[in-house]
Amino acid sequence: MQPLPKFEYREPGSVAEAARLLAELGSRAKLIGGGTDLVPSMRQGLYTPAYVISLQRIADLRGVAWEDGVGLRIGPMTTLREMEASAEARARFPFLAAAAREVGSPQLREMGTVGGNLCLDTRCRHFNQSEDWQDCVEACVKRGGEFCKASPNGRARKCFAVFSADLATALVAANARVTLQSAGGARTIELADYYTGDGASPTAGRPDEVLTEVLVPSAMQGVLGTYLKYRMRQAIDYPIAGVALTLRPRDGRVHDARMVVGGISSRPVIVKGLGALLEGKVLDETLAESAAKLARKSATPLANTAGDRAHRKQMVYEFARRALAEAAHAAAGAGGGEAR
Amino acid sequence: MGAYTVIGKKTPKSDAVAKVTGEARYATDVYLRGMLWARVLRSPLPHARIVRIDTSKARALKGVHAVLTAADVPDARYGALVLDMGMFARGKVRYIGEAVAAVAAVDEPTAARAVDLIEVEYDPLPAVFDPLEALAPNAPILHEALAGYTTLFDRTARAMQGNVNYQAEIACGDVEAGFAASDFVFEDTYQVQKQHPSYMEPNSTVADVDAEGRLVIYNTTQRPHINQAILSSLLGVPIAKIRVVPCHVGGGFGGKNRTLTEPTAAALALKTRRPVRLTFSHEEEFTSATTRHGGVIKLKTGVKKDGTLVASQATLYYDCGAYAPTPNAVWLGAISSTGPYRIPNVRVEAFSIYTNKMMSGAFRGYGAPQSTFARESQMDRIARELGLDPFELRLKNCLVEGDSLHTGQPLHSVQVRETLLKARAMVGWKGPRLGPNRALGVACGIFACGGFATSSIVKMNMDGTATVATGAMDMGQGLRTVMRQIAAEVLGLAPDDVTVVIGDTDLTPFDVGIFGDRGTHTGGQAVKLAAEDARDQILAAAAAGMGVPAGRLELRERKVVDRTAPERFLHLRDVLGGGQYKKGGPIIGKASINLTETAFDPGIVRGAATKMFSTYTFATHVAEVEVDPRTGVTKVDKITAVHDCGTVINPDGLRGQIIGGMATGLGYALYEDVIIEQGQVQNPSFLECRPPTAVDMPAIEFATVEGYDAKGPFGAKGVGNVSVINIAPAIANAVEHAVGARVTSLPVTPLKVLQALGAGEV
Repeated sequence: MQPLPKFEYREPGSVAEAARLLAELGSRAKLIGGGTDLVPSMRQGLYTPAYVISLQRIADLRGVAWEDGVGLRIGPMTTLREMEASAEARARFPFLAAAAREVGSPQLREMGTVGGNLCLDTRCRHFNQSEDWQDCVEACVKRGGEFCKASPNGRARKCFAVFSADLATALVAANARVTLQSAGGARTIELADYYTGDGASPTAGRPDEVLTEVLVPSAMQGVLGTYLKYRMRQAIDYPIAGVALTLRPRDGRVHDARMVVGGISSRPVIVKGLGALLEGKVLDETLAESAAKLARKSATPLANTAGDRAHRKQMVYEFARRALAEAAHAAAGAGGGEAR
Repeated sequence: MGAYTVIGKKTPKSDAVAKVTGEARYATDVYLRGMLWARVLRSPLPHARIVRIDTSKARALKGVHAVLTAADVPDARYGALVLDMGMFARGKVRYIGEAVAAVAAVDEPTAARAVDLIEVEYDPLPAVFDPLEALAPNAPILHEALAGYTTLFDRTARAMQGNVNYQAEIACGDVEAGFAASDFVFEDTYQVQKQHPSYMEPNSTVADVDAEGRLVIYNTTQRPHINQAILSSLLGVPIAKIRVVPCHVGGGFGGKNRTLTEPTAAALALKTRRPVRLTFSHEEEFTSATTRHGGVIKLKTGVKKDGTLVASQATLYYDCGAYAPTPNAVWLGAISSTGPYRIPNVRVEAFSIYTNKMMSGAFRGYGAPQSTFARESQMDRIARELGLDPFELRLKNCLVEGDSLHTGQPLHSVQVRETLLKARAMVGWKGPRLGPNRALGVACGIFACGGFATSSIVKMNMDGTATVATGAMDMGQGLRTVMRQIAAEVLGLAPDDVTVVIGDTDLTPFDVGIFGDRGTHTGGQAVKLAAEDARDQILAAAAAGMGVPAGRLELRERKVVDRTAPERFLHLRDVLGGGQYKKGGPIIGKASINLTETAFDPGIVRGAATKMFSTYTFATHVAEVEVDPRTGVTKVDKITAVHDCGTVINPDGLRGQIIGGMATGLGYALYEDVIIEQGQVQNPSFLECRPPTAVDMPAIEFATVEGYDAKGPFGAKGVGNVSVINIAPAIANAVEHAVGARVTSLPVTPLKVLQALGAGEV
């Protein structure tokens, strides 16, 4: 294991104090939740922040609670273990608890947090390598070089590193919102808009902002949801394709369907046109097939993670088909959604 | 076989608690006063001439105590069969990750900064990454002076030419006549990948120069005595001035049958006269240690209509990387390439080929998983095309007691047939298909077991306890406990009465290193013989005191007992303690053996890397899989393993070995690969190399068949290698039976399964 670069460590006791620190230190600081993403990256020399600010001591940032008329409030410092075990989450949005359970391994979920998963750094086989490894090659765009080496001809100036947070894919499908707070105030945005699609700078959060809340709006109550993950091994591995689906069955027909593809691009990708295609229709096999093809079309994997790109694209199709079949089955039944 | 009091009985590993609590000391736990930290500068290029190295800036950095390059150390090379590697690259670099220079500094960050300050000017050379391309006449040559290198094997015509650093040829019968007499001839090509041993503990050495100027090495190794000899030859230091003290080994699996960190740490310690620690990062493990050989295997087999194997021609192209620390794996691959079958006409050609990639070396299975994957995959193809049951085809052709292998070696203790029959019964075989997309796959394996030199000393203590010294290392497989049991059984003691001193070259006699299923079989046999020597001396001493002929005495329950009148006995402590004070002592038993003494017939084998092995182990594995034909994903639900390992000494240790072998075999079959592009490892981490996790492991059932090997202690053979080698073909065979997809290259990825199914979209 490589030694960690030197840094100063801060443990603010409140969000306000954290925001003050960030206002002062700006991009010289990195926030740390459970550290399961940041620490290995720092050991590889990918980040050398002068300050590491832990949110561990801020009790307000932890816990999952339901508030009538508001929704499911998830504190970003809630561990993934707590999220998967949360009675509120399991009762109201079982697919979110299930998605949390798909992350890493029990040990990683014990440390890793919901907020950490949403702020996961993008990954790429050209980027997530040590300095020694990088010495053998030209730097990629995320490392300060000119081109994205994973881009089709290796000439794109934009970074295409993969965003691979399981929970984010499911939460975008759940129309979640996030609140970001800085010393100057707070703002709440759609989680879908939190992601920029730029692998080099994947979130819209500013260096002075702390993610303080994740909210699944109360209007989402009763929605059916599923998250399916493709990975090489059954634990630890990041998704190399993932599909989340939410919809509302009514009178045997589909309403408000939303499908999100994860583990492929630099952001969770909402499958365009899928909601319109399914709206008010009976979800039969032909329709599911058309919808799955839409999902496949929206997936444009590059050769930057494990697994073959064409196969990952095919897995999006296959998982979309399965998620839809599951939803159709659940809708035809009691209407309760059992997530996988 | 007799009734044993300790052998075959549940005996917990003596070091288990210390390992679980963290008390056990590993090489990275060694911290000496004034210790310096070493770091290695590595080549960023796969093949280049070194024009110039300037270390002046690094030397000038505050806190740096020494910087070494090839110019600062003797021009000496080492290796197992071909002495091709020096401590540092000399004149040119041959792979990305090769050591070019090393620094010792007051702390790790200073050492890292100093390494960055070393300036090296390279002149890039054309590189070759594919073993078959490396054979082409115009291929870049890695070792221009190869023909002049010292070798320790019988050189064949092609060996030591171009990029071939080792070649074995085996020929028995008349293979062309055999093909002519066959009803069918099958020809297939199989491809295998590199696989990292995935031990958790990285290579690590703390080298110290003691007050007398002796070099003391604390390390993690499977071969302390060979380390000592290599250090002596590389550094020009007499063996008496070198002490190797191995710590607990955090996994070896063959990968620590290596000498990687020791010479550099030692040279730096000699230079600075301070303790120096060199520990590989996990990344260095994946770029600069060793993996299993990747390669290509071409297999042509002739059979009669009824399934009788008539002739086999195998060509093995093993990619050894830029140096050949252990081309022995190629030799073992050639031996296992016929599978455990009688084939009257055989020709095998096996090549170890240089490429500009990280090195290949020893790893559990040691050259056999590759050729066994080919053989056992093709056996299933033959069964399918001839309409035979896969078990029946194997039973029809399997070796039996008294047969000779294609190498001409006569075989004893051969129970492969019994393993097949038992496995078939255990899985309730009614053919391979179990249901839609579910099937069983079977594969057999043969592996050379035991041999080479080892020794042991058993010292009897005054209180009747015993101290065993052996150079045969415990690398976590539990050898220490097995040695205890063996000595205790002979001496009539409980395992707790026996302490095993292991590895320390000042205290233990020579052993050549632990590999090739020789720990229990050969190391254990030396302990048994040494204990018997001690026993005979004890009985002789007691006979005088008891007035009874020694022949009537035996040792049991810490006593010397008259077999004819058990009420007449002496306590062992009285015999030993009294004797030691009166006459001097202690009683010391010793044994030195070499179980590899007979040379192969040069009319059959050319290029033999060894003499005939002590014996062979056999196993049958049956994998139960479910394959999703839409995703191509294979899930292994269960593996049934039946082993022919002779007498079982420690049942829990055996179980551990078998489960561990399955994990390695499963990773080889489905997940693991060291992906190298233009000479650079693309996935240098556990995360990206993907050894299986606990949840990927299938249900496990295993059994042994009754057997007794005359050369092993109490009839025991090994199990470490044969538990790996035929897992992958069993899984690949099951995949074909499940969905009709034959994958001929490892790992069996979902993509390959879909491609074999001819899926349109992918």
